[in-house]
Order: sequence, then structure tokens, then C-alpha cells
Amino acid sequence: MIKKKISMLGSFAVGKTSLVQRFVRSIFSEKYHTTIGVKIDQKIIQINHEEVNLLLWDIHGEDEFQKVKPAYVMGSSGLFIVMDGTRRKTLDIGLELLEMAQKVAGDIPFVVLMNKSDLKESWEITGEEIQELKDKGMEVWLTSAKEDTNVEEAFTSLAKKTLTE
Amino acid sequence: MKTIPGNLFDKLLESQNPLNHFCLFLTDASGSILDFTGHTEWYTRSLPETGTSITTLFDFSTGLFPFREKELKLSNLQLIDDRFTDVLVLQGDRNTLWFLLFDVTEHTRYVEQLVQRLNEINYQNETNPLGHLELLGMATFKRTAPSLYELQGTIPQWLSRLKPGLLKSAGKELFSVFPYLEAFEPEATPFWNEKNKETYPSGIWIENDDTGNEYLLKAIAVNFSNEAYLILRLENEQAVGQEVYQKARELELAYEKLTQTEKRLKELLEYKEKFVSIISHDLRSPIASVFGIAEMLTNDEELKGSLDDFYREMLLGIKSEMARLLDYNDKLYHWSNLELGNFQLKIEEMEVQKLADTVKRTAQHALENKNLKYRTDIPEGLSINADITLFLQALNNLIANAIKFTPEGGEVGFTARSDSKGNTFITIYDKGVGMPEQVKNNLFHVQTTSHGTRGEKGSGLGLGIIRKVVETHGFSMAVESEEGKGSRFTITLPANK
Repeated sequence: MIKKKISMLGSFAVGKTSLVQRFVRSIFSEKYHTTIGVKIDQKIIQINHEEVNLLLWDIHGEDEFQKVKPAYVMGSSGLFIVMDGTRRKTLDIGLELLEMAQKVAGDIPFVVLMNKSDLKESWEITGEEIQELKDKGMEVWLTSAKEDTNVEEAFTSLAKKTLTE
Repeated sequence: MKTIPGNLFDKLLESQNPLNHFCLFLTDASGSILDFTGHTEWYTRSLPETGTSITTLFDFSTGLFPFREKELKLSNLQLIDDRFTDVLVLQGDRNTLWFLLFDVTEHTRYVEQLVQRLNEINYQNETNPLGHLELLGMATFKRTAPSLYELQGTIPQWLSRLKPGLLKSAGKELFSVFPYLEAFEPEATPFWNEKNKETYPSGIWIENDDTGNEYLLKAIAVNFSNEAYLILRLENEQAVGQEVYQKARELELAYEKLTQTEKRLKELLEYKEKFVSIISHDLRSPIASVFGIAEMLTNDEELKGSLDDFYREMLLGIKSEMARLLDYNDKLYHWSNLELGNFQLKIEEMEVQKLADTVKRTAQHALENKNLKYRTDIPEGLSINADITLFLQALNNLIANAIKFTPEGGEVGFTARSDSKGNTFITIYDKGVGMPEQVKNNLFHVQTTSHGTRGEKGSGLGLGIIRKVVETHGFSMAVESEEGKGSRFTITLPANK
């Protein structure tokens, strides 16, 4: 079976753990529970009649208390850069982490998840800013772990990219 | 208490490691305490007594009795004051049980001390050179080459639950079992190579077993007898570390939300002030026109002569109310523009006496209406630097208030002085009704308004304008007031302004 390491990167409280929990266990919790260190999960999915074991590294959120260790990203086949649409600065932090990850893991496939689409009326990140990311060639999904919007689609899309790119 | 089973426990008890507050209880098969030793006070606030049941000291022990033969129980329990304790329950002989308690909250230091101790006593164990660490909830691997590890001794129970069957053969598959270690190895390799320290801990990582139970794990790289080892264990610091990070991030999120809310409120306020500014600007023309017509009509002697008293009074009422509306609208316009910052200060020098004369001229009609005295006390030649147009707005509002709250025949005044440091103090006072403490404390809130001694109505904006003008100049203002005696508003103009 093909095994692919996928790293989840982003500022704290953007919903990385919730997205993984939604994808792996189909559950969601309203309560914010900060991740210490790295949480490792896996899920086997079918891509073009082939089984792929996604090893999901849910890495703790970056902030002034905890910096993401580059070693966590080593060996990744793909990256999710997770941002919280309601918090503008998570976009900047996400892009910084992407830069760091690409230095460590090389030019590997990545997908931007603009999370919390269920709170769209409170979004600080504008449609223009999202379009700018897309104009730079980034694949962006508007997701909601809470309402299960585009979660499966985004994970499948990245998994496909890791197989083809 | 010298019959503790196993070589390692003898050594541990001899060392009396203070960090782990090692203690022992010996009970009979029913749980009655036969003996105890070590740091019992660390785990229970009650003083242990022989003959009493251990279940009265520790809730965890309640389910252990009656104890089945040859049963070994290991658990990680939080007992008191957020300390984490490994509890080992061992059978001594047919009728006795041993309860061994270790505080493992600071396990990394513990491992460090343990390795140091084992080095000191040249400890030898056939299956695991580091001793029976599985009994302390740890799994030991010897690093034979980069990415190659071999299991030493046996694995602890938690690892059997987390990865059933995966570690029975050898540690070669360690990276596929624990992918996190692939990231940790490059970090730990320099430590293993240098051999100048005894332990090097990893960060924490979390994994779930098949039933969804969460395991917080930590790896510790160890140098012992010139060999490299890797210890895996359940992380018991989560309550301390997790709580700190959780709180810090919750506070950070709350701060972010507050900042967002503040930004939105500022935007709303600005929108509101712009709206008020535009509306009051556009209303000025029609109000002024109606006021002008009313004034023209009241000044037309021929028309006045043709009207009876009732209609004449009505006309005067229209004129008076329109004048008030115009004044209110002007204040609204000035206030909203001040709040928006739609102005640039034009600082000029002016003699204070001239200011006082201008203020008097503006208030002349109101002063005469109430037959008030207007006293001034200003040193000759004293001058100030200010945006005169704005500053006069503030002074005019202050004198208007002084007049409003002074009964007929009373006194209002304008005084000024300077001190040796060059600070100037301008005071507008009245000998009127004064203010209660509560009114004085809320004076500069826009909505504060009171009727004057003749029932004069206010817009509630006057003091808001005064405050803004004073603040914008970098001046300050103090208020003194006593009910029945009057009020004094003193503006301080610092020497450097």
C-alpha cells in the first residue's frame, strides 16, 4: 500500500485538529482544545482504485509560545496550509509556514484550506485576498470542519496531487 | 521493609530519589495497612496508620480488593495537587501486597537521575541494561545504527494497548510504528554522537489506539555505557503543559476578538460621525432660512401690528426654537467634525484679555437677559498659543454653561494666571447652583445635560466639544464644584504648548 505523509500547518486555533477529526472520524467538537506537539492519525482512502494510507501529521499551531520544528515537516509528501477566514493574521502565518516547509521538504504539493466557512459573515480575509492566492497558482478550498464542507474533497484532492506530482 | 521484590527496587529504595518521592505501603489481602515508608505525605494529606484500610487514603485502590493472585497492576494516576503518580501494585506473598508510588511529573529529570544512578552503581541487567523500565511505564530501544533500533527487555502495558503485536519482534520497524521518531532521530543524533549529556527529550506527540483513546508520548534519547538508547513513555505532563498553552491561547484568541471588535466599533463610530456631520451640514441651510424668515417677520413692525398677541407669541416662539435648533445643529456639526478629526490646528498667539472680551461679546445677550455680572481677572499682557477659533468654541461653551446655571443677578467670570514654570491657567467660573458629585463625575459624557436656572435646555454636546478641543490642543481641564456655591472649570495650558 502506498503511504503518504501529509503535514497540517497553520496558526493556532485555525481548525487543523478539527479538520483531521472530521476527515478521519467524522466528528466535530465545538470546544477548542489546543494541540501540544504533534498528533498523528491515519486514514486509508481509495484513489483511482488504489489504496493510499494517508499519515496525517497534525502539527501544533504556530505562535509565540510554540514554533513549528522544521524536522516535523521532513519527509512530507503533501502539505495543508490551514487558515482561519475570521482571522486575517492566520493568512500571513500560513504563508510563512509554507515558505519554511518548502525549504525543508522541497517543492511538494500543497493545498490551502480557508477554514470556518460556516462563519463567513465574520471573515476578515476577503475574497480578493483569496483570489490573489489562486492567482499565484495555489489551490484553495473553503472548508468547514463544523459543517463538513469540502473536507473530504480537499483531502482527496491533495492525496491525488501527491500521487501525480 | 527490606523484602521489596527485584534488584532494581532495592537500588531505588536505597537511593531514595527525592525527586520522585518514592514511597511504599504493605497491606494484607484485604487492604489493611501493615507497614509503610518513604514520602507518604507527598500523596496523601491523611496520616497513614497501620491497621486502617489503604482505600481510605487512595480512591484508586478501592477496586483492587479482593486481590487476585499473581496479578500486577500498573496505572498512571493523578492523586493530589496536579502531581502524576505511577502506582505499582505487586503481590508479596499469598497474604501481602506492595503498593509502590512514584511521582513522575518530572519524568525526564527522573530518567536522567536514574541513568546517573545506574552508571554510579554499574548496574547490570541481562534483558535491559537500563533496568526494568517497563515497570515504570517505559519502553527501551538500543540504537544499533541510524534508523535501526532493538527492543530491550519487555514493553509496558500501555504500548501493548496502543500498538498491539507490532513491537514483539524487533525495533527495526520503529519508524513505521512511530513515524514521529523519524523526525526526532536527526534531532537526537548529535546528542548521541557527542555523548556529553545523559538524556535528551523529544517534543510531545499524540496517537490514538484502535478504540480512539489518546496517548501523549515522549521519547528520551539516552547515553549509557557508551551506547545509544531511546526510551518511549507515556507523557504525564499534559495536564500542566496543556493547561498553560490552553490558557495562553484562549487569552490570545480573546485578545484577537477584542481587537477585531474594537476595530469594527471604531469603523461604526466613524461612519456614524460622518453621517451626523453630513446631515448637520445639509440641515444648516434650511434651518437658517426658516430662522431668518422668522427673524424678519418679528422685526417687521407693520406685520407685528397686524397680529394679535397670540400669533405674535407664536411667531416669537418659532424664532426662539429655530435659534435653538440652529445652535444645536451647529454644535452637532462641530462635535462630529472634531470626533472625525476633520480639522488642522492653526496655532496663533493671542492676549488672554482679548479672548475674555470676545467671550463677553458673544455672551452679552445672555448675560443681560439674566442681569449677570461678568468679572475678569487677567494679568496684563498674558497671552497664549492656540487655535483661536476652536479655543473660543470651548470658552464660549463654558461661559454659556456658567450663565445657564447661575440665577438672575448672579456672577460669572473669566480669570487667568501663569506660574513660574510658564504654565497658564484659564478659569471660567460661576457662583450658581453647582453640581452634585455624581453629575461632576459624568460631566464629559455627551449625553449629560441638565436644565438651567430658567429651564434653559442644552444639547448635551457642549462639554463634549470642550473636552475634544482641550484634548486636541494637549491641554488639560479640571472641574471644581460645590452645590449651592457654583463651579470652576480651569484649563491648564502647559508651558511647552
